[in-house]
Amino acid sequence: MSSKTVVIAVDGSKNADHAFEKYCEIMHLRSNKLIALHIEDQLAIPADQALTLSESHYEKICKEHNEDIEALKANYRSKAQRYHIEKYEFRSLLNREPGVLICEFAENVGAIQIVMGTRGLGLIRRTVLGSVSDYVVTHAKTPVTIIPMAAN
Amino acid sequence: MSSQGMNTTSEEQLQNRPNCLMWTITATTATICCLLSAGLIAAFLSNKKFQTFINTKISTKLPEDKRKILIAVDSSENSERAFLWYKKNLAKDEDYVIVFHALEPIPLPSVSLTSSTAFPGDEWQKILNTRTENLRELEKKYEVKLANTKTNGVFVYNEALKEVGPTICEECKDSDVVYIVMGSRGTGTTRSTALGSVSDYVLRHANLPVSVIPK
Repeated sequence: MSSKTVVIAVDGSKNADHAFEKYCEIMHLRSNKLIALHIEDQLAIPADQALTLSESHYEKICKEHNEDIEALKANYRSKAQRYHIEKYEFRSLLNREPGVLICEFAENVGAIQIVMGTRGLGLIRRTVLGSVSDYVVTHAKTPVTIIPMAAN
Repeated sequence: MSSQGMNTTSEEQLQNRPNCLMWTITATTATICCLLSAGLIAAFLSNKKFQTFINTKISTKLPEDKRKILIAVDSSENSERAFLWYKKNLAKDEDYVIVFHALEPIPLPSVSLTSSTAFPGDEWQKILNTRTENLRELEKKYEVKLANTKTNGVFVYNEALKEVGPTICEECKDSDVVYIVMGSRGTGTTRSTALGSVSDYVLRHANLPVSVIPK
């Protein structure tokens, strides 16, 4: 059986964690190759400090940013190990339009589906579907699986 | 003493006999009424003509040991691709597939255009017959697909009294479904949104993983 690639969009939120675990529990097939895709947004530099930022401070911010990503990577790696996912990869890409990048990435790797949680780290909580999930579901040419938090 | 006793007993007997009689008559009438109404109800429900009027649910016994996957379908090609996609990429041996179709509520005309009588019986009959025919075609199509792909599953349908989306969610709850697969668009005519209204509803309300297969 040829290996099929599944892309799961992660961002460190509880929703993404839950979606990851749920996918592993109920949808993963042993022959699948799982790629955990993390979209980095720009560095969180406070606007009022941007111009007066010292090099050391900037380095500190970069370092923290990378540490966060490493922690996230380790978190998902341990999950993958727990579920005995043989073919697993973590990718972190920088882009301001996560929805667009997720769709393109999935197409490029020939994924059979994109797995996502309903919401991420976004602040607006009124909608059921976060902005990125919403974008991906409506625009992706690849099948998309949305896994809500309420799923038991 | 004996004559008095006899009199009273016979009087009592006379008093009791009408009561007994009335009691038996009432009981028999009640039983007959019950049997008749039960018979009428059974006849009503089993009559194929009436089945299309009321909300009938084909209740099949679902296997307990297998996990249930629901594939929501309509007559569109998108639904066929959703089924194939599931089979090709997600199917596991322990799956039991429920191919589910929710019949849309149909508008029935209130006025007859052909006959002078007020009740548009002919129009209704025609509409309902077409509906039943389409349903049978769909059922056959997916039963063939299930057989050809050697998939353990069943075709189930239910009438949506109001909307299709809630009916699908309801079915998932009733049948203890693990996840849902559906096309992004069905046979609906509105093309303004990228995601069809039913898929959109199910995605937001099912509280289950939903896989949406784009057109």
